[in-house]
Amino acid sequence: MTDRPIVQTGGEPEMEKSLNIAQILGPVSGDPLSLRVKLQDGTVTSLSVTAATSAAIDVTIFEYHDVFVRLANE
Amino acid sequence: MSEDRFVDGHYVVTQTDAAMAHLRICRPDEDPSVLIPDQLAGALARPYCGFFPQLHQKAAVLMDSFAGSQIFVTANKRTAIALVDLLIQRSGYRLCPIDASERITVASEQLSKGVGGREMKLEDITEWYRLRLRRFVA
Repeated sequence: MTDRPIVQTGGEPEMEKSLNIAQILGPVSGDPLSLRVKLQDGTVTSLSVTAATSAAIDVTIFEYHDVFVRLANE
Repeated sequence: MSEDRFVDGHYVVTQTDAAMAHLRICRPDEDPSVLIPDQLAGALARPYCGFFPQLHQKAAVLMDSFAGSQIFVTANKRTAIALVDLLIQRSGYRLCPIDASERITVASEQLSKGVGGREMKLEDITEWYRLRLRRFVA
């Protein structure tokens, strides 16, 4: 796994390899690149993706819209 | 600021990426929780462990890990498709149909169902991606 630093709310940047996301809490209001998560140790923090990654995810969701609707309705 | 990482020249999909994709994919009435946190970390580490140097190999193990498991409470096949597409896009590649009759989105849907139903071996998934990956030049 990588040592990619991530954006964290407060404190030193955590290393991605030390992360263990236990729960996805939701988006961060006003920041489309960030989301709030609870880690396995109980810490609640916000993490961010890059703009390029965010855009790539959105492109996929757009292109696969019909497929995702079908899979969701299975 | 977050930074992108690459291994073998291929984009490294992270837990943060997976969580963001999953959150955006889940409908409001769906639970976006992670069912098995350790499995999430393991699934994302697997493509970069050194045994899968080619992009079609990384794509295959990522699809196998996510569509073939119950890492999230729901939307595992959808998230698998999105994460493989993220890996491919950010690595400078695209999925292309093997012939004029194939729609790549529908083909990916069928692949995810086959993997989810344990009907495909890893070597079959790897070959599926090998036949469809094309370098994208902007």
